[in-house]
Amino acid sequence: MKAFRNSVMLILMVALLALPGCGKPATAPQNEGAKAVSSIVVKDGLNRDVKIDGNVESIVSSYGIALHMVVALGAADLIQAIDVPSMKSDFFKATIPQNAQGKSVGSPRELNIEEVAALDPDLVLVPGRNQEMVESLEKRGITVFGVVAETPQELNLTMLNLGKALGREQVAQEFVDYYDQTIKDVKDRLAGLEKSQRPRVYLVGPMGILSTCSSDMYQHELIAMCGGENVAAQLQGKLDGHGWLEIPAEQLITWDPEVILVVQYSGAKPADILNDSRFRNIQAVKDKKVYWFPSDLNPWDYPSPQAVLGVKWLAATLHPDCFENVNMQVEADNFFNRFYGKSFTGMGGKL
Amino acid sequence: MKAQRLVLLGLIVLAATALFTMLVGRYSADLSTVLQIFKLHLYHIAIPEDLVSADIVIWSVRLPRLLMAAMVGAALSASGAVLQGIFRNPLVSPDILGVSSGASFGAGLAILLIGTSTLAVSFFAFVGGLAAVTLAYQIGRRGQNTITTLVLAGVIISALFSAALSFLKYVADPYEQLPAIVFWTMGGFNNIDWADLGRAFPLVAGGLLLLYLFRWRLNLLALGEEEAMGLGVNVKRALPLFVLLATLVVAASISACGTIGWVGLVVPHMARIMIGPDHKHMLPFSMIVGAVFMLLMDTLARTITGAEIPISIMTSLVGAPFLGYLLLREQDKEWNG
Repeated sequence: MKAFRNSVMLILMVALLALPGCGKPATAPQNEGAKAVSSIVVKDGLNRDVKIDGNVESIVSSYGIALHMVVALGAADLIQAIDVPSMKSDFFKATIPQNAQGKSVGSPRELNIEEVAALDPDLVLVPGRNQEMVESLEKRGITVFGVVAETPQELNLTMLNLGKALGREQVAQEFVDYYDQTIKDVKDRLAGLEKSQRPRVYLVGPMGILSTCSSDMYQHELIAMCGGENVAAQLQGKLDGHGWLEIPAEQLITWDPEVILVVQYSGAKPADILNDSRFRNIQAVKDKKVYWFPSDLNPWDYPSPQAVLGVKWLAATLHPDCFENVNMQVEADNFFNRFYGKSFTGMGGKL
Repeated sequence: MKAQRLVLLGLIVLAATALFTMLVGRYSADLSTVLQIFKLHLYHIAIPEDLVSADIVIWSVRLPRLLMAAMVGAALSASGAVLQGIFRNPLVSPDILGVSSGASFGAGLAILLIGTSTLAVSFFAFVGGLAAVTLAYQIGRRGQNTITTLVLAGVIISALFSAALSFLKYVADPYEQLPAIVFWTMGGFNNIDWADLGRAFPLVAGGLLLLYLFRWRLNLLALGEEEAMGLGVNVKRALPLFVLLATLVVAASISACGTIGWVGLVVPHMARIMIGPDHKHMLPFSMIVGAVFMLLMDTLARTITGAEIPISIMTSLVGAPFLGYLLLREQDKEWNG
């Protein structure tokens, strides 16, 4: 009797396994005939060819940076669902349609493919570094675009391609021009800076005062571009995939940085460093040059469409005499008005 | 007699190791500077201007760090020795009843709900560790064969809290909270200051002292429940007492410095191979070996590169081959000797 029951169970299990996956069957779009004229091919951040049939009318994103790009391109209306971490962002609350804010498709690492299939979007945006996710979506016939923006160059290129995919080439071009212009302006103002004029900078990462960026990270390039010198320049590598390293406390004391920057999303705050008696003899602490890297709406220290504001802010902070008539609040307002249609101050943004 | 001499030798080695680790680091300070700074603090003399940086590094960074490392090394090893004894199983580590996964979950919860402040995270971790073991103990002691069901309950509770932690990681903010959780679970002594040491010291030192005083009962418990009862040990009372103390010292340690793998498993074996299985000597010797081992591993972690290497990497990378070597040598002795 028991054996019989077991075999029935077994047969049932096999049958269940053999059923096709739930959700929408993975068929390629059949409407090519109707829209073949407007079908285009763009390159994504992984240099893959992404074929887009007709106008993109719905977007699902599992990556905050990709969301930023879509919003900057003026296509926020098309967003249907976002990733869990982005749901907490005040910036997205102010820019993304209400009904998309509450709908999640997972995180940058894990995507709920059934949920995506059920929404049936015209385009899915995922982090390009998550190759597995890109491949598994592609296999199911879902149009997927891998977003890569680890450097300003990659950011610009991805913006242009994404702009093309969404039929917003003009905004994308405007954005890239603004970006290039700002960086050129910063470079011009800092031209001829001598090594002795470049302050030693220590950047505090997300895991407390002793976490920092190695020379493999964008933040390292950012400090160099803005006329500073990263004290952790000799360090390499990315620990455990998230890109930040920890240093011994005495190493920080030995480096004796002249400026300390604290990223917006760090657990540590500038006051924690200023009040920590272990660091009281560091030059930056003595001179009170410990700064919070803006802004409260979005971090400006990592590559995303707003990173360009971070470039200008840092350069002006490290070299105020080269940026005498620059007001960052006004700069941010201009940028926000131009690309988001609302001012930075109006959204509650603070430096 | 021989065992007592070994314990004494161990203490001398510990003192020498502590002095050596005071002298090495990314900030270079020689012996005379270190001694001078100790003297200044001993006599409460104000630190002269040119010694301020050295004083901060030696007195405020290195000293609390190495005291904490030695203490945690001793606590993990003692806890491992005690639990291996009462479970009569050489594969037992302090994690057997879920203290690590409970503490990690507690820390993760604090990071998500309150933020990355040290105080909140270590309090939640401590409570989480104790809660996990209490749960495991409550489930496990109901069985007929207490030891087996306890192990099983530990497995269940560990799995439960690990899954809960994975869930926290899933919903965590990937830029701020997730790195903080990952970093915490890797453990280390980098951010230890006097305040951390002050919080952990009473619990860990008190627990270790009690374990030391009751160590002779361990030999009886290690004979098995029935024999221990036959010899007049109240197993019903002795077992929870040892579980409680072994958990307390580990939970207090983990809450200060995160989870550190492998020490609590490997050091008791090292100690047992060197000094024999009698807990009267083996338990204090485990504490000493654990302290020396942790001091050396922590020194490697903070000096090999400019970055801090997670200490669990060092403890596993060095501890595993060393235990293998001891085992091989021991077998040679037994077979050829």
